[in-house]
Amino acid sequence: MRHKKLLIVPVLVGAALATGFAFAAWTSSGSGTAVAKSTTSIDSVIAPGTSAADLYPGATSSVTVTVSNPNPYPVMVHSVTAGSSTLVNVSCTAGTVTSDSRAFDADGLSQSDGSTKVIAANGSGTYVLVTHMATTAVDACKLQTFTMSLTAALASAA
Amino acid sequence: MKRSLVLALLGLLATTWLAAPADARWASSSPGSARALSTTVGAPGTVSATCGLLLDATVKVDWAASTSPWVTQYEVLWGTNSASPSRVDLVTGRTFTTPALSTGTWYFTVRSVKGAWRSPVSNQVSKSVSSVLFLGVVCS
Repeated sequence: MRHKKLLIVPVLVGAALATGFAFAAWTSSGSGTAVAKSTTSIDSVIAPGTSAADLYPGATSSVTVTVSNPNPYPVMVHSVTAGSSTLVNVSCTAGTVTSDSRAFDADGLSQSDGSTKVIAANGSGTYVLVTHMATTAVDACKLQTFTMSLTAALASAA
Repeated sequence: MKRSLVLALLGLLATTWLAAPADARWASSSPGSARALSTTVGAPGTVSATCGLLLDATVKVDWAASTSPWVTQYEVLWGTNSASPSRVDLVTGRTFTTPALSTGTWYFTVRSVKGAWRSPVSNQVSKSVSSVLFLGVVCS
């Protein structure tokens, strides 16, 4: 019996040690254990950035989106879904303009400067998306603004 | 003692493994939007018209390129009614020659084309074709 007790003790000690290490990893952002343990991180905001008025039927262009990080730890964007424009007016239908997805990259997507991947705590990053206008775009699509919904996958970079 | 160490290590590994999913909670999916803007198609440059050879009764229309560099086609709108052209010809390039025309005043405008997009029309030009005794029709 005494022997069994002796066996349980090291297991518990090991478990306690491991938990300690796990917390150490979580707090590597330097924001403290409580923040690192949070499962309700604040969602980032993806807002339209700059875009030149340069789309015409069959054209390919690019726009930027700004991803803000309201959390007190750095994050990375790992992918962005494709987007498709909503209805602009009665004639210029939904789907006239699309944006390409940015495929999952475990190392994080590069920002518009081509190299930065981490968005600092409480900072923001700018990402480029390639856009296309359908060759079938009607005359009523001239000089219009096209809004495309999309979703970005983010993860802590700490 | 050895056994205790092994068990301690096993405990460490097991808890680290169990702790791993906590990292996944950091991932989030954030919705948002992108915005793109379309341009318009520029009208062609100045349009001019010249008569064909004597007794030819044809008119050659040419124009400067559109201000939109990606335009490759143009529509020539023409007819004898200055306000309402009866004919539309789609051309690639920047010149158009009519077939032999009947007598009357003929009006021409041009607009740029890209897919279904049409630019505003250009300046309007005209030529008159008249009948001359013993000579036939003459463009002027």
